Amino acid sequence: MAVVVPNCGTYIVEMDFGSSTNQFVLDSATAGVLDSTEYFLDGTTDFQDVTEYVKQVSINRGRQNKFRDPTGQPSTAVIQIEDSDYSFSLVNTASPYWNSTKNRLGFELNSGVRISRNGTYLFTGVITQYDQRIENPNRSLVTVNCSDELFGLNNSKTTFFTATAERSDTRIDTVLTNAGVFSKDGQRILETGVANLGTAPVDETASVLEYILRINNSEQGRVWVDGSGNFHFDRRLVGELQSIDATLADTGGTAIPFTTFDIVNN
Amino acid sequence: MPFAVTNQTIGAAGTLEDSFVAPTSSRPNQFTPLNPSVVNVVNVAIAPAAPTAGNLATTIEYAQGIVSESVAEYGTQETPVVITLLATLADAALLAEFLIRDAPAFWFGNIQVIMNGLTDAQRTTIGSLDIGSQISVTKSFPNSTPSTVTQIMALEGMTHDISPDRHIVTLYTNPARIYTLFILNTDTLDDDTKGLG
Repeated sequence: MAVVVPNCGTYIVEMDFGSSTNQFVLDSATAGVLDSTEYFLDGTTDFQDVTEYVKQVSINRGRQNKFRDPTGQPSTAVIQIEDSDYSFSLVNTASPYWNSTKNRLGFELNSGVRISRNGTYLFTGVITQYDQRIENPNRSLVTVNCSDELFGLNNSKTTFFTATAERSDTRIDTVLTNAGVFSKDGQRILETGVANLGTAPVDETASVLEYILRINNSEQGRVWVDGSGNFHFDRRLVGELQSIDATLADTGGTAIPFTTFDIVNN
Repeated sequence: MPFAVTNQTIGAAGTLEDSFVAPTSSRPNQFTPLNPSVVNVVNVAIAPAAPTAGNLATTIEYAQGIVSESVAEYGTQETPVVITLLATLADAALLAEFLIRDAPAFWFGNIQVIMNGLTDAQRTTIGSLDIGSQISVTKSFPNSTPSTVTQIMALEGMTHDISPDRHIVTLYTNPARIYTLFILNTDTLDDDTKGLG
């Protein structure tokens, strides 16, 4: 059930229970049957609204300092759950989220997670770690750590191909296509790069993310995933006209007020 | 400050230290120096040709960008020679120029906004910001000249801390080389944050 934070908006935290329950499993007598109408290759999503159990959400996206931090760091989200009825317990076989096929909780590594405010997604990713803590006598606290799909690009190697002289965005498009990721319509938002790349052999030992960051090392733009889970590649800006998306000020009027800031000089 | 680029070569590729040829897994942006406030010597290499039967010791060519005045003022603040995937030394020179920071600069960063205190329209604006968005920040300072400072910056990152009674957004920015339109009779000449459309 969506939760209204006073004077902030309506928030929804959803966790995918579906793909882990009806995913095709090779050689399984039940989940591995061809032409099954109950089990599918990647499973089908079945996002469960768990907002009413959530105590706190922290989302961290992008980098803090362009000159000190590399781009391409996966966004993270940490969801703290007050598990008042043990629905999120790793040992409760009566949980509504229990996967009877796998005989474990349906929320697990790589299950999808979405967090939105007033219908706009602030984070889309997957579970990377799921921890349950018990405080005696019977308080259950669950911490769900999540990352966006950039995290997954660390886990697969770059597929070899013969590099041709091309722009950085074209090379990134090829790498993503070869890896079979961000392949849905509109899921890749690639700006036209400034960097012209040569024909240096593709490093097959590198993960997909490592090689993409090597490409970006030549571009010095940004690699990131937005709140809806779309991949972005931004070219380096060398003096271009852009509009102002938000005006912040401490001088009143219609400008957005802020509470604190740092004057950064390195 | 004046900026100069020269083309250089260094030793045989086969004898380079590992730090020059290692993959970038542990340090994705190898250009990041230890003290990035000033970067006045930038070395951008292009990938060396593969060794051949007649030439086993191929050399590495790189463009070196130097701002001599900055070196004189702040000492040498140099990046390593970083091998990129760039095609030509001309491309490497463009990148070297981009990476130069000849003098320290300041900018408004880590800007914290509490959503509870905003109007609906302001909350919608903040909620729609994402990496790459451009924002203007104005701060008035007592006992300071000028009394008001405005900066235009691009978002590099953001955090959301959401609890049952509040939502705090922190915006991380950089002083990007981004321009807004020059407005006649409003803006001043030689303002490097304004450009012609």
